[in-house]
Amino acid sequence: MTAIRKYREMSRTQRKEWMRELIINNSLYVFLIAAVVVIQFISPNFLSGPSIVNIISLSAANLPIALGIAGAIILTGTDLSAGRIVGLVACVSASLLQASGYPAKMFPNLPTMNFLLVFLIALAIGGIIGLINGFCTAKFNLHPFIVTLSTQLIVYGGLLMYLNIGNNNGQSISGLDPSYTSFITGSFISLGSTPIPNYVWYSLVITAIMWFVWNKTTFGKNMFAVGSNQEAANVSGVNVKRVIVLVFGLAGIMYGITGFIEAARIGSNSAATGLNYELDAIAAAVIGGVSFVGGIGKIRGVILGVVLLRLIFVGLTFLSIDANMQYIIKGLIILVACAIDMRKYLVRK
Amino acid sequence: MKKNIYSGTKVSVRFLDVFIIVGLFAIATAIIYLSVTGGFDISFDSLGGSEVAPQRLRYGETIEEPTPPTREGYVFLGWYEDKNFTKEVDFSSAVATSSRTVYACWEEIE
Repeated sequence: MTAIRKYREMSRTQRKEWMRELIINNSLYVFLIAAVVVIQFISPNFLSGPSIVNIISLSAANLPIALGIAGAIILTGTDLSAGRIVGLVACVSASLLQASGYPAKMFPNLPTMNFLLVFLIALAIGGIIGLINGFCTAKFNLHPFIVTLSTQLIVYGGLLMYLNIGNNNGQSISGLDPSYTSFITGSFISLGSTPIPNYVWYSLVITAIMWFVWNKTTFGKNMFAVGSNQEAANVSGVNVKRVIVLVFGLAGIMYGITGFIEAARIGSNSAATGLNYELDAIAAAVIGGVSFVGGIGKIRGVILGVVLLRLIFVGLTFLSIDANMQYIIKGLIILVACAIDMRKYLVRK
Repeated sequence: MKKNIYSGTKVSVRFLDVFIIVGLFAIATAIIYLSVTGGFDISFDSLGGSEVAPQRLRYGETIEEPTPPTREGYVFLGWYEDKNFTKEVDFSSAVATSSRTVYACWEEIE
């Protein structure tokens, strides 16, 4: 209502200004949606039932990591270790949940483990590495770029070492326990004849929890406060160091969830699992309006960014554009998204 | 406003407007160009046998079964999706959805 009143009170030039801002700020969304419409026109199978379920599934798999990294961006930081943490958690989860009769099993004498226990292990691994990231950032006042760059490499080294132990000599870990894979990728609801995998629902639940944390808890408010203006937050009594540690810790937990789901989703996990995942996550967050300036971001923006990005890349595949060439488009999209973000900041100034 | 990643930039809003519009045009051009010149490369790695030419296909086109390769002292068993030979390629339904390599499986003649 106040927006409508504001619009009525504007002068002619102000209205033109407002319209122009609206168009430019949303130009990337309009462009991407237009591209989707054109691709659907060229290749009508693009938005068919199975294809849409595929797009929704891929988006759901990428949502937790994007939500985790969005927290780090809101704190004016970044998290380059996300992908490798996902890879480590995926390989550890997979190695603990291989089928009992599998010939190339990594730990041959390991009994069938309860996958909820392995889930907790996954959360613990992700959370602990996240807390380390947060601690080093907060305590030594280092930029998260430096801290997470180091963590990324150390985690990768740890993963390579892990893949060599047991009966596994650096090979991919596959042959997962059917009850684990059906828990993650099985389904109980189908869209037409295409089954919707269970991890879509888990992802939605996690997103709802994150929405609650961001918007309805003191921790969430503190996160935005520290991101907007660290000194002001400090002065008004927020324990800035603790907020930083916890935000990175929460991000780590999200990476743990992603890794646990990913292990079952892709089925065969190796040292390459998780490579560059953080790039897609950061891109999705920025496209969705999470600003590099800090203190700005919405859950619905992250969802929008993840879904749009996935939609476009599935669409590009339908246009016969190779995965390697898609990087060029991805880079250009990120460039435009950052330009829009910068423009919003300069206009406010 | 506090110091942040954009604090020092000496760029005008006008410049960014132009940059954004040019950027969107660049994306559109890139998509059109890459789509027109695009295609997926299906490679046939004969793993020691005779050369088999790769196929360049658009999305959704069926992959043609090539003439079987030959290898001295070996019998050709078929094409597989992976080097561990767990999944055989079914040419009646195989379509190009991404660039990939398929591998030849051989059995030594006693």
